[in-house]
Amino acid sequence: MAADMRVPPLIGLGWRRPLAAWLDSTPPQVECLELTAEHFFDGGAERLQRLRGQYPLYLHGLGLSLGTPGPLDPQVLAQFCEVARLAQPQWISEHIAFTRTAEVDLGHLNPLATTEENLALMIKHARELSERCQRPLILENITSHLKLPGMPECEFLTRLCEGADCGLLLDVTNLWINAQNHGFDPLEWLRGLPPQRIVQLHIVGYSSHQDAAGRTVYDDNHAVDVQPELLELLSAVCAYAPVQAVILERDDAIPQPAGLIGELAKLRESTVAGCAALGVSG
Amino acid sequence: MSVRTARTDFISAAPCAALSREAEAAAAPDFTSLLGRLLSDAALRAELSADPQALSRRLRLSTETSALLAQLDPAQLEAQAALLLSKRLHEALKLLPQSFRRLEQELGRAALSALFNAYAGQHWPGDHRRHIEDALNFGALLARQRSAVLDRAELNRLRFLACRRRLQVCVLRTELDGRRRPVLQLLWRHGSKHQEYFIYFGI
Repeated sequence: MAADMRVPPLIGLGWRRPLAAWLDSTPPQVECLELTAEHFFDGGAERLQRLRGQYPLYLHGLGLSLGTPGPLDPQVLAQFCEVARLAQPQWISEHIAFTRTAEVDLGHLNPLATTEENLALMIKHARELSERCQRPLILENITSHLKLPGMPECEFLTRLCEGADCGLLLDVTNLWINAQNHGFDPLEWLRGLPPQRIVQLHIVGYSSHQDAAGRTVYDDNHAVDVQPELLELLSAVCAYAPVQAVILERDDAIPQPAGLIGELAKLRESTVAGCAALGVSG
Repeated sequence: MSVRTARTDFISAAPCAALSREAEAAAAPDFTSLLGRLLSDAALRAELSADPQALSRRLRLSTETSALLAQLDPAQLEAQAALLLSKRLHEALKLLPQSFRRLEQELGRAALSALFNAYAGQHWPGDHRRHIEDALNFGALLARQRSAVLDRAELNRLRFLACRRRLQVCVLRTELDGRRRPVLQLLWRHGSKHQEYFIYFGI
């Protein structure tokens, strides 16, 4: 059987202000960049235009709240589209979640019940976002302490991708955390998704705490190095799907460039191992 | 640097079929709005824990929404609600580090969290500048209730970040070598960057 010719994904970082000067110097270890749209809502057009000549860019949104019933917030949508126009990213991404309702802005990502109604809503909003920005869209799985009713999550994601004609931004850390907190096998969950739809990955180390009942609860605080079990899952995802880019998502306790380069090297090694495993197994 | 072209075959070449009228009509579920209320309202969560059916009746929920509500795990709901507040506290800590350090020394970590949660449970700032607004509101609360722990320079910085002004000049008093001395705090903005300088007097 011929070996698979899959190209390993690009390995990159989420752009953060403390890293701006270093990233302006185009370090060769950073093969691509993900920009958070909200970081540029109040300016930064020059930087966006410069970065788009330096790196393959992907634009990531936090606050469009695609799962909110009713129309998308026109102001946030216009701001997001303006950043997309300036950055000309290869694709845009948002979350399968809601952050606000008509009554309250919760400010962070919350899960959706995987109902037919929410599926239709997400499809509608996803298509509107992609059409407004004139860019392919990929949607990200979140982590949550809440397990909500509805159809199996993989069925919801698969039908969402088909209905909205979009891809998936698979957050490997979120998958691992949900698997631990809610007690399921992440590899089995992964096999429930269409591999061709998995376009980009997020990864960062997890943390944990004890809840009131003394149970270990896992969190995504984006502040620690990637652990070996996550690298193992990263390899498995790369063996399963033709991933195009992997983004290290550090928000807090961001290491110095040497530390980040070490983290990126670990990711590269794991993705290459995953792609090689595919080649061996055919 | 050459930029690798992206593969876009995860998107089909054919145009998407339009959503069905049924799907359009069904695109406004109210369970999400209810969940938003539950996550932001501790009293409503207590009502749910005590008697879900009574809450369904009081809110005149549809059969479908009531059925979804009945499947919510109150402990998971509490955990998610606590997570939302803890993420906000985490962001506020980054914007008011000295003030929180002093507050923690005075009250301890648990009481600090309780004080912040009491504020945060009543205020839910919106838009992409929410963390600044949150820290600013909490800083203003500290100024009213616990002014000794508040670092005025941090509050000035937040006020500057929250506005569109190009320049802000503030006068502070700070303890240096056992004496209270005046300090000028200068903040200015150039494009999307801002800078800050302190000028100490009487040294």
